[in-house]
Amino acid sequence: MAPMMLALSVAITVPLLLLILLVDNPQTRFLLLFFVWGAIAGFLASEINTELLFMFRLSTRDLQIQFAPIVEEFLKALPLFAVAIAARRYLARHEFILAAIFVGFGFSLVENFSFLIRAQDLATIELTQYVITRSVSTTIMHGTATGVIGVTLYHLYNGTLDEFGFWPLFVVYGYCLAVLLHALFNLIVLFEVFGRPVAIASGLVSYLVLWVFLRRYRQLTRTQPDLRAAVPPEKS
Amino acid sequence: MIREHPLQSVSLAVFACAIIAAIGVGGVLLTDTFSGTTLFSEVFLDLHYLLMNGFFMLAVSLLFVGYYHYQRLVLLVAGLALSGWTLAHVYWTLYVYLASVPITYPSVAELGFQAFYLLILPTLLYLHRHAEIRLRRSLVPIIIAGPVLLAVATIGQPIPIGRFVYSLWYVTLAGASLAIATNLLLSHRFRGIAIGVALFAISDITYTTIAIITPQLTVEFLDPVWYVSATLIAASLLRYEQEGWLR
Repeated sequence: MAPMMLALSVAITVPLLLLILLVDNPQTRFLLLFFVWGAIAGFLASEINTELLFMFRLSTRDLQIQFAPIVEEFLKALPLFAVAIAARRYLARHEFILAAIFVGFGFSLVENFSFLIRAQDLATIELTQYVITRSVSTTIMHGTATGVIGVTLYHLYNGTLDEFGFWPLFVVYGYCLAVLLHALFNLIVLFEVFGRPVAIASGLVSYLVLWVFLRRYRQLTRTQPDLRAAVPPEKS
Repeated sequence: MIREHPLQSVSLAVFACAIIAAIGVGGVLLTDTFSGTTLFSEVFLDLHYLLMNGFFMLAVSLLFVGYYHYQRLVLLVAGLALSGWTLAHVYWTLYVYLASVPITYPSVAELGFQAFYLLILPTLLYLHRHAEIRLRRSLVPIIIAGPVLLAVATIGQPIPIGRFVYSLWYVTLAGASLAIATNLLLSHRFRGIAIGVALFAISDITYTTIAIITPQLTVEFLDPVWYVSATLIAASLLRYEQEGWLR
């Protein structure tokens, strides 16, 4: 499975990286870069999860609903933390939240392909159902979970939570919430009776929430032109 | 005269219902203890978890609606704190129903349980700064008492190091919240939220101590304390907003 996952990850990242070199718009480049990281993280997570499975003799179910979300959310959030440390000015823009969602979607793309490879024996109708279900549930869940961390960092940088202090606690909270949402989703999917409908419904509701929030953030950025135009000073 | 907002009345009604439910649960548990019946586990267990998660969700919703209405950030942060605990408990309950066994300790749900303290601590300290309340150094022993209690209770027990370290961290977080809530209580300000957080922290310290030294991972008699505390925190904060104490 590992060579296939690597091949999938390379097949997605190399064309996208070539595309990034051709794109002039910095915002599009920024978003595509995050998407590429998502695809790389998908491969890395698969490797680490496999190691965990053997190292701690975990059951596949325990891996899915307990350990995988911890590893996956950390890997997905790495570039967000990197930006928060090394290039904070990007946190002032609402596009940062979108970039966080892009990481989740990129991650899910590799994960979906890996599941499809394992589901080769399915009939056409079943396969179509499977693909659609994963596309409107798991993909959105991954985007939402990373988006939670993105929103936390965005608000911390823009001073929304300054009156509370203790900003590292909020960062840890964002990560905890992302892991928990992910684990809860994986747990619900395991329910045979209502797992699939609930997964799809929660995916669609999450998408609606993301859409509403991003619209709101876009308006906020428009009404605060200094956030978009000027490069804010680095916070000490 | 300040006209009471419906949100405050609803939050008080939810708190009152939580107390009634807690008395009911307490009554059934006492009956079971003294008469040797298993009424609680056979008849009321599902309803109990449904009620518990329901009260938590109501408390979170009230705080979020309060934030939307008053645009007061402290309501949002407290709501987020409680939603961490709520999500963790929903996960915990679903796991029990799915696998038909109690979840291991510690589990991924602990991330949500500790998330409550990660945000309730800044909330309490914000209230201190807002009302210019001084933190007493004499309360430091309360922070230390939890970990010390845990360490003493586990002497000579073969407990995995990871489990012990996590429990120590969690009890320290709960102990710190308990100490800061006690400071509010001693200052005679924001007593509602202080009692809520203090009860919450005491329940968590008790649960963690029981979970680490015994194989028992469901402690039903503590459940009502958690949901009564959660609804009390929500009702208190909405009252403070209505009274103008948060402005």
